[in-house]
Amino acid sequence: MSEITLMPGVNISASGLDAESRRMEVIANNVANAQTTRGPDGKVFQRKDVVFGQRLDAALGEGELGGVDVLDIVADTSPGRQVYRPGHPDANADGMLEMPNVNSVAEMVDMMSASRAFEANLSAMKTSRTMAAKALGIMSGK
Amino acid sequence: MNETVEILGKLMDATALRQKVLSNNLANANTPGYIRKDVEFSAALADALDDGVDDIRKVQPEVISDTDAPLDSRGNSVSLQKEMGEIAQNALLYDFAAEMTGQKFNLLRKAISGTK
Repeated sequence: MSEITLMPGVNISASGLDAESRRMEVIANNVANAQTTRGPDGKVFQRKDVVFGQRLDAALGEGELGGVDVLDIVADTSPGRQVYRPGHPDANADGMLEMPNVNSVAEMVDMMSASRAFEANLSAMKTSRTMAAKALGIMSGK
Repeated sequence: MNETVEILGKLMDATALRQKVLSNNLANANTPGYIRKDVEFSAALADALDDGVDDIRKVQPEVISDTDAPLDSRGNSVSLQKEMGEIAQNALLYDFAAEMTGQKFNLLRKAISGTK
């Protein structure tokens, strides 16, 4: 019980910070590869998505208050934009080149969402810390 | 030891649990299908206050699923603004209980030492 009364939810907020920063990494990678037509497998780059899932905390007997986990990072298989670029080495016989399915605007929106969620988790963590300090203050008579 | 300290202790327990639950909501702000949770205790505590200190000991804060909150396109009902607001209010309540408990002990300390 000591974790509950002293540092309520610090681990939970930490899992949120972790997950959102992983998401930020994946978004940054998508944006960085917005023009990549040849990946390690020789195919055009496919944008990646993170899959979040609740982390269960059975140990505390409260079921689901375990924070969040990044379960998987999956590729978005939707087709990319076709552009006419006959001189490009990755263009097909008709001179059409498939560009990555990265939409910069959508990535920016995702980035804002990740950044806001990160800040909110950080702020919750600060509150938890202040609460712990207040509990200790009872002992010292402050 | 003292009814006031007992009540304040309950309040601190419940608000600490609520902080945890609200943090969990924020952590899952982008988890598809996550329904926000909350803690129910003020009604039970108010009931117990009417009935006396023995009932206060039995009050258990309860984690509930908040099914009224609107869902977004991914079936998630967490709103960052709402959770931040609740966290601020809840922390204030916790601070209040901690402060009052401290005051109570200060009084006790003064009574024991006989100084002002």
